[in-house]
Amino acid sequence: MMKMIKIAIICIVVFAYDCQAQYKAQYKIDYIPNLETKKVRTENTLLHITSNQMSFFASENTYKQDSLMKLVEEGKIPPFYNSKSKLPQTRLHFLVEKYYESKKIRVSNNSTSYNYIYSNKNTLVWQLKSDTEKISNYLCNKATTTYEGRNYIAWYTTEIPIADGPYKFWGLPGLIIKIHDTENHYIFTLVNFQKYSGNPPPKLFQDLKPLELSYEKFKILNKEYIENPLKMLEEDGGRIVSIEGKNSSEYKSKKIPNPIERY
Amino acid sequence: MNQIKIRTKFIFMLSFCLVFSFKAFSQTKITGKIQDKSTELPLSNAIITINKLNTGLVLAFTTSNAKGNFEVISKSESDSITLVVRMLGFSEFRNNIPNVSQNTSILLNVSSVELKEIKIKPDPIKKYGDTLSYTVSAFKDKNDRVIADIIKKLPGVEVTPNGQILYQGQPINKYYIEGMDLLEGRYKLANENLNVEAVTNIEIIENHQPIKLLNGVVYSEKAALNIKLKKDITATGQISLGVGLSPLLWDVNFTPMIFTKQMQFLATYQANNVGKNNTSQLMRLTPGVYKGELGMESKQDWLGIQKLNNPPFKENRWLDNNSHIGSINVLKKLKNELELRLIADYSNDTQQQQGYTKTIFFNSKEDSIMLIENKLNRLFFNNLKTDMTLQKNATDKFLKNSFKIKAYWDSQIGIITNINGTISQQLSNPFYTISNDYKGLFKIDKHVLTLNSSVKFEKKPQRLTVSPGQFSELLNIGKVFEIVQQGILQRSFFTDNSVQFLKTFKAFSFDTQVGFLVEKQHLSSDISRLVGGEFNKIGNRFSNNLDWFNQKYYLNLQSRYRKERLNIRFSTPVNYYVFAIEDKNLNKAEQLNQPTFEPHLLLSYDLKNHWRATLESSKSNNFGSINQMYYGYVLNSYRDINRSDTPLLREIDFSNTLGLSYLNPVNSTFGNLTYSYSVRENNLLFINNIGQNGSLERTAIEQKNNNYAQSVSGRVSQSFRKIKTTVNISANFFSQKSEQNINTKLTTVVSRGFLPNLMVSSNPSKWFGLEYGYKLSSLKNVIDNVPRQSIIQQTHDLKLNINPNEKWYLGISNEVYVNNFNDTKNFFTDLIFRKTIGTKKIDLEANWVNIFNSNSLIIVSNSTFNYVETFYNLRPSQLLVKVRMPL
Repeated sequence: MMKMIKIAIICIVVFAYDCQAQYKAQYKIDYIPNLETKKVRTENTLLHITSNQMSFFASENTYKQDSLMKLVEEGKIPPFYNSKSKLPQTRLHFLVEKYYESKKIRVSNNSTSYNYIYSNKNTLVWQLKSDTEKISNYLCNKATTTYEGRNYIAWYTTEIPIADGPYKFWGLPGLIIKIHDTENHYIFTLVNFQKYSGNPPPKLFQDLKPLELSYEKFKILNKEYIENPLKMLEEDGGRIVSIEGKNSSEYKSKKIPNPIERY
Repeated sequence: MNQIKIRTKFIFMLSFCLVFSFKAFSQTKITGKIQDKSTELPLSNAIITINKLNTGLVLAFTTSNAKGNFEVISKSESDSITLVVRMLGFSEFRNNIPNVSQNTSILLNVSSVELKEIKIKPDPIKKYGDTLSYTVSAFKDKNDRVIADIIKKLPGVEVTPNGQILYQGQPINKYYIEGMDLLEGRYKLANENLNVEAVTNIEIIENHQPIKLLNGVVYSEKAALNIKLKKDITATGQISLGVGLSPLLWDVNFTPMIFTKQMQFLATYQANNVGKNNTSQLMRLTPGVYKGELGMESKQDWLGIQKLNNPPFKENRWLDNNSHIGSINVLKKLKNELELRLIADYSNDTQQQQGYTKTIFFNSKEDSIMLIENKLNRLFFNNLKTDMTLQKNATDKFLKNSFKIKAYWDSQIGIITNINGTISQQLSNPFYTISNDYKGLFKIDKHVLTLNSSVKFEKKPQRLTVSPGQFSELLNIGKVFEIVQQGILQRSFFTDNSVQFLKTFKAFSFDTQVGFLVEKQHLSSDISRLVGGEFNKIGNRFSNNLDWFNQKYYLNLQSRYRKERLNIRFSTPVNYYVFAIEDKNLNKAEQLNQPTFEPHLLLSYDLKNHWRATLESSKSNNFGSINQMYYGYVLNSYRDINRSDTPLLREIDFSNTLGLSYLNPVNSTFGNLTYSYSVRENNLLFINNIGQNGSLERTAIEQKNNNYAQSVSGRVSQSFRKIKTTVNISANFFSQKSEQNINTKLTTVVSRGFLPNLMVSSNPSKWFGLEYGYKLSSLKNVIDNVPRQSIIQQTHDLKLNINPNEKWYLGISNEVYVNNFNDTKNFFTDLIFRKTIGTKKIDLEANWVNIFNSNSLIIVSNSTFNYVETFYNLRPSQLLVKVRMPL
């Protein structure tokens, strides 16, 4: 009888533990932000999965920044330490939240000085392929999809039954281990997968004012920002600067921006 | 015939498709429910796959919903398939089932088997500091000459019309060249003269704290700019030469520079007579580290000639100048991280003003006094400023000491013709100052102790000579006399010393400052008259021999609190003033000991939906300065004579401001609305005695009176992205009420103004852009309930920019000015044409200013008891041709 109770308790504990289980998947991104130089940049990102219900995805440095901010808010470190110069820097200015139940995605983007937030249904259509490959010691299956102007090849494993992956990629019957576009401009590779038993991650971008908008509207704004960041900044401040006949909108960057999404 | 053919073809294809699809897409639908075996609770987000029989090849998949239900469609044609269900924390379920539509219930067993974890050593990630580095070559195009041309284009950077650089809308706090601050904020010198070709990178250092010791302790929101040069040893600069007609015009600039790792040097010589104010290049544009150190300096003269008000237009329309500036800047690195810097600026300018003014003094009731003066003025500016600074900026210690000498040898000559004849004014208004400023910062544990100390000596020996003699009633018992002369000598000594201690505690920070200020001044003045070829001092109440001694002891606690959407700043200075003022000759004296409390509160809160609210509230005390407090008469100008034979002026200000701002970048809509209300309590009432000839005698009596001021201002801006156009509308309304005594009658003056403003900027295509601005200003005074004539002035401003290609530029600028005092409209049009030639980037520029030769202008302004119409002679139509080349 005692044995039964013991087992039951263990079961309950295990069950409770596992349902609340959090996992951390660390992906490395190798990407080419500028097609002029074709220089490859690398940054670490983190997919944080909570209770098989939802996940957060952002640059590791964004998490670090926000953890520091949180400490400041709780008064554990003085506000002067939140000097941006001391914070880790990132070029990936987004947070992707995925909600498994509703299959909805919520993206916060702070590449401009605002925190734009849009929500979207998961619209990815995956083509499952019969190819298999062993990547990072996981047996992976191949799948392909198309998203915002790029074709992607994903490798996912059914060994990890989490239908998630880096950035906005999800909805495969297992965790995505590697995904890249067919031109190899953006390559996400899993470098760490671990159970995680700390506090849930801090809510990101708390210090910025949230601005909710539709995905269509965001696309228009983001496209303009990528094409002409100067003009956008100007409009944001409502200030007009003219420079001896050279208007800021005339100025074209010599850079060839290579955003992940090509609207 | 053809149509029938197509139709049959279509029907055939359709039937084929239907038959084919029935055969190929025979589907089986498998539905079910997934539950926990032990608790029978439904399980959501389980992954259900249909695999090819006994393989890992996934044919179809789905996930279970909140109720544990799932539905998956298999398009396989085989007889059997494998159904696999996987879920975190549960054992895998795997079963071979026949490939037919079915409903099944699946129970999963809890499993404690851990998922396979992996850990791969990640690549080293490049760290990005807070420095943004811009490669000049990426931004440079054929039109760019000096580094300012590039800086204007950097994302997030803008340059204001006076040359100040803003990053994200905030002025930069330092301008470095190779990390060294050669110019102490006078960065236009480098920015507008440093050749682009010498520079490799421009760095923006965000959140830059200029004092290294405070880095990470005191948060800085401002950014700094650093110029990175291509070579370790660089000799560069620029030379330009402009010549024009008519009369003969010139515009010359010669600026050589040398930069090495240990030493930096920049010198410039610039001269022009085309109406360009070169001295703006010597203007300081960054804040300093010393207390009370302002960006702009102003020289306050005791005496003056009657000037013409400057028109509210670009300087090159009206400024009749002949100016020369020279500057030498040297910075040398010494041992122990010490830096020595020497700066010497010299400027010499002769300006001429010609025109007339019509001044109407509002007397009591409707009767007014009108005065017409024809003016011809020559202003001579001649000054030398030197600055020797020693600085150590290390992580454990900061010290900066500056020793400055400034000398102004200024003078002015004015000839006035009015109905009474000609009056000549001669002014000598020099000013000399020697000062030393010190600041030291030391670390004590985690806290920072700051010492400030500054000492300054000033001397103002000034003299105004007016012929013929004025104020004869007052000065010469009503008899006409030849010359009146005002001589004045002010000697001053100032010192301000303080200790500052900064401490932080959770979301609070406290900054405590304790210090004292001493001001010891002496004023001696005399009015003399020339009667019968002999100067004699009138003496008595027409002279001053004033000793002024002021001490201020202060304790200021500034606390800040910041949490989430709330930001509070509260400062609570407690001051103790001691004044001892005495004029032995006039036998007048005053002693005043006065403690004051001057709190200031600032509160801001972010509301939802793009709104933010702010509240600012303060109380402050002002005491009269030596310029307002003297017992004997001083002739400030030929028709102004003042004295204040009263107790010290004391003003107490209460001010409240309420603001609401709206910011919606999604729709590019911005707006704000501000209301402010203030009351000023004065202990003195000013008495203005206006003579029939427009002369003003100003004294004061002790009588409490209040000034009230209210204002509402608002702004809305909207961008229309599709047509690349921004529209900006703003308006300001104000109303002020004050009391004064005009010609022995207590008068209430109410001033009201309404100032709307419209701006449109549009860049519909790459080669064409336009900007249009409209300003209206309507001002009205009501004196003792009698409304006076309104002053309505309007300006239109239209600018067109045409760039047919990179080597050519044509700019057309038009201005129209209208007022309600005369019917004429003033039109101004300028043309600029520029062409770039050769590989050495030599620029040829032709500038035709004022093509319609509008040679005069009438502008109007008012004050509490007068309004002034100024007729201004403008620069005539002129053509200037300019060559510019890099050194």
